[in-house]
Amino acid sequence: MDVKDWKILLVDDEVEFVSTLAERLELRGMSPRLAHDGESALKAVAQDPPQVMVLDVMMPGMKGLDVLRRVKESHPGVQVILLTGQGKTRDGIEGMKLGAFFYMMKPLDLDELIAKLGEAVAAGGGA
Amino acid sequence: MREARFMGTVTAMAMHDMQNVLAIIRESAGLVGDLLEINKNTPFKHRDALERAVGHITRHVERGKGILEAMGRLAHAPDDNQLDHSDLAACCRAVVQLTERLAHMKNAEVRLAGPDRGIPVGVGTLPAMTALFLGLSHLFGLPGPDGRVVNVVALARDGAAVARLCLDGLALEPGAVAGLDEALRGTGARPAAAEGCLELSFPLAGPRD
Repeated sequence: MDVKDWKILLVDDEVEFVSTLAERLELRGMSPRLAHDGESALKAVAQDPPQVMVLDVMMPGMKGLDVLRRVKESHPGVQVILLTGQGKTRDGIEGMKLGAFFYMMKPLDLDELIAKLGEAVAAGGGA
Repeated sequence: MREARFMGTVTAMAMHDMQNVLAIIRESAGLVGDLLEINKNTPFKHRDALERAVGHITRHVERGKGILEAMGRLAHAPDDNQLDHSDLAACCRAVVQLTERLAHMKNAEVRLAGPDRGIPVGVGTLPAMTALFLGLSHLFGLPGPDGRVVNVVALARDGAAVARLCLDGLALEPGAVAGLDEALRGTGARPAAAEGCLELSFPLAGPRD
């Protein structure tokens, strides 16, 4: 599948981070959608399930791991890549137990993220 | 321990903010780099300077990431699951990262050597890092020429975990560790001068559930 057909949802409350990340993915042919909190992310998934969701663990309001749990209940086919902080490996491991596809630490390595997006899509990401 | 937990919690929260700051800087610099690359055939007077600046930002974000990783280990040291055991190799990595500045101020350098393999010890993260820090400070404080380099390696040997702190080109005399025993009291580490290096021995951790 061509990258332009990848359905990606980026979820992070750090607006400048996630919008700049989206711009960089757009320069590479992708068209990610954005959400800035857990509730909006769940709505976006319900309206049009992405193949892959890139989800920050530490957000105000609904926490990333709670969003992951809800998404995996309602749309088990959606692959989730978690973004955790340095020293927060436990969150990543907990997320993997809940069904996350992978976890990465901020600041991100963009090439690694794109490689993991590709793997998640190939793994059959979708509703 | 309550104060240590407070420090850890506050530090961890500040670190999370700093990670986001670094992530925004990194993506913004990355975007500038992407745009320079896309327009590489378009003449632009200051292209070299801008490319250099993007390179500096990217390198120093990586440096900041390493410092935050080390601070993360320190911030989470008072967590319940790290009170009586830790990974000596990870503690060495963190302390080396966190003492780079101190070494620089002493006209010295500290380097991590050896394989990056976990070595579980039956000592908490906080006392293990304290012992390593005191050991390094001791070496920085020894009389001798400027420009010394301390190589730090963690290894398992003869039923014990050992952090070896070796000075490049300078063999420690056995008396050079005098006074360190007292300083390390309560950390679980035993100091010795062996093969010209300062060795800090820790008990290996038993099997955990």
